[in-house]
Amino acid sequence: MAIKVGIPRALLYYRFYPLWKTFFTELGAEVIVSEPTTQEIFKKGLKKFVGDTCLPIKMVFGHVITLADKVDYLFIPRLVSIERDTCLCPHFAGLPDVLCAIMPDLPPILDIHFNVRKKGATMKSIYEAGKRFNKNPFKVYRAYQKAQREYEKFLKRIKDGITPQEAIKIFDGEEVSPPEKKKGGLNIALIGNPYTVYDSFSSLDIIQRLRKLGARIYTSEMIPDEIIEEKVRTLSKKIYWSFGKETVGSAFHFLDSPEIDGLIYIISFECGPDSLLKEIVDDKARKNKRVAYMSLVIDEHTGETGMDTRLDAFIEMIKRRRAKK
Amino acid sequence: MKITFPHMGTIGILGEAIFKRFGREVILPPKTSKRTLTLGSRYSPEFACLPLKVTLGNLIEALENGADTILMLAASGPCRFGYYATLQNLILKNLDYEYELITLDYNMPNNLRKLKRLAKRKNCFQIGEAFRFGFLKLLTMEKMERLAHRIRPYEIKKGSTTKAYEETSRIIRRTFSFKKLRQARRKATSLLRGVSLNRTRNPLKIGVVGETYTVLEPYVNLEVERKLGEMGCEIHRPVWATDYIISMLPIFNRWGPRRKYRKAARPYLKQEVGGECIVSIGGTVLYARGGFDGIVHIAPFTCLPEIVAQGILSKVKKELNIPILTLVLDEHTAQAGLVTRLEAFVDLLERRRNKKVIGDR
Ligand code: SF4
Ligand code: SF4
Repeated sequence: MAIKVGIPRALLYYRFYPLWKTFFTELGAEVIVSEPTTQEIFKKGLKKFVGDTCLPIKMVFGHVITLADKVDYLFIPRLVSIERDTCLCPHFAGLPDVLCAIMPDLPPILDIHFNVRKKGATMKSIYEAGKRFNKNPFKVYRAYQKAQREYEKFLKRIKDGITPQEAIKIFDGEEVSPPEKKKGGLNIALIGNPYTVYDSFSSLDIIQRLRKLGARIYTSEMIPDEIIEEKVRTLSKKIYWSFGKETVGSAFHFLDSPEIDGLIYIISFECGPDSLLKEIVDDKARKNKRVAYMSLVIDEHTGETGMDTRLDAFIEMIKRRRAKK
Repeated sequence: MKITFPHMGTIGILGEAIFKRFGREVILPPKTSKRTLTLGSRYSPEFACLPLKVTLGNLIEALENGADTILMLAASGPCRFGYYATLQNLILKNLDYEYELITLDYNMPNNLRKLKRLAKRKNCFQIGEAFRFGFLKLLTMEKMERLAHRIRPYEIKKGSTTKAYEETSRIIRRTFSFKKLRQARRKATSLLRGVSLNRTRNPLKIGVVGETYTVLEPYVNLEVERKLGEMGCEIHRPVWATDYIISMLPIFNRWGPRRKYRKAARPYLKQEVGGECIVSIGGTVLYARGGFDGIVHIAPFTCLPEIVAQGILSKVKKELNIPILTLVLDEHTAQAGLVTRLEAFVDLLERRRNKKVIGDR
């Protein structure tokens, strides 16, 4: 029987799932992903957690609990940095240890130090990840190469203008009809940490809500890395958080692009990096008279009605601005 | 050029000593107070961590007093601290303050160039001496603080240690030469030794761990150490400004004074996550093994590394059987509530100890 590897549908799932899944499947493992977040899953995690923290970290606890008795291994990489020069927030580096500490009876955790994107993961960490499934380094490496190809396809699909959620669906073989381009429709850019924005529980499915209101969605993943680099260079100090850099870089880009009508920054309450970066984006947006801007700070108590009211008001604002022009 | 930098416990002493020796004027921000906190939180992002707010308040007060050059440290992640300078700069500029910002980071050659400029026409030897003096002065100050922690639980008249310590601090702060510093040290030690003590007591031993800034800045932690001391507890802590500075230097990063904490924390945390997380865990482990009665863990609200630490400490607590009290601080933390919690904790530790004594017989 194939070894079962569990991947929580949380955090970097939204960025790296195609890579991880292809890698483990190529090595003959069976990959099991937890169900999309629900109130129930979330509550399960909340009960276990000690102290208080941001929504995404609370959510990952729920996912891990629901996976625990179904799998042989949990894949929770220790992500210190996913590209050169930047790192992730401290939660990522400590997560496997915190999970072990709080829930000692979990299945073994594959906590591999991953360092992808720019140079590819280091050979050592790839082998670390793969050796439990196949002892042959060449096989492991080949699996990784295949995974990387799939991953690049996935990235390309996003750059072509669909959301990561949809790109994951396509990767899993589902049919996704790209949202049609409407003339005169509103173009709204969504920025924020991918795992906050694309998890439909935490973001209350904001993407669908906006689409229903007739908007076309842009996300930071659609912006080429070079542009992001160039935009953040205008700051006096480089932003050293990967997603923070992406968020701010794309925010600056969207504020400068003529086709964008509105910009929404989604932040989870108590998020460390975003609490500071919000100030930088706010500042820039305040000085920009053309693009409508709003930041949404969300936590588990954010209600649907409140969200709808704010979105309606936001759309109204954009329309008014357009009319003035 | 009037230089200023935010407070962090006694660390201001270091900067003041160095720049005075360079022949520069230093304007230290007024002592952190209610006003500092109010000013800082008014202009900071709402969810920023507490140290950012308080230090912003410090800077505003110093600028009001005429400072025109701000010196800040800016490490590069993974925590928020590295971005403080940039953000505070943005906020202060939006408030229309005029000043020059100088940041020191991990780029050593660059730092040296900046320091050279600040050092006027001093040569390398003089610069080195200035640093040595500043460091020695800070070290002396910390020695006194350590001593105060040791004797406070024995004091006969409540508050006498604190009074003596404040006097020593004033004496040491006034000195600006090696010779005067030696004299001041002798005088300060004898002052503290002069506090009348009752040595028959057997105080509880408590380790105070947590995020650097909140542990070092008494106003922000509502003087937790003094309070515990006056409740009759001997305080030890792994966080000292001098250690912090030494471990910021590249070579001592791995081998410096914090190595033992890192080693002790290894079974619980395999990866350095930034901030003081690993020291909080390592400190707790070492204190627990050393037979301490309890741990007080201090963290600002939403502090990332300390949330990680808190999760892991829940395991350390069970495995090593040591009570831990976590205090999460923000600008609204109230004196009264804190005292009640500390008293309850000390009570618990006393009962635990008595039980142990009876059990051992
Ligand atoms: S970046 Fe923010 S949301 Fe993400 S784990 Fe860190 S604190 Fe939480
Ligand atoms: S260690 Fe905590 S308080 Fe300090 S910068 Fe990081 S999050 Fe803020």
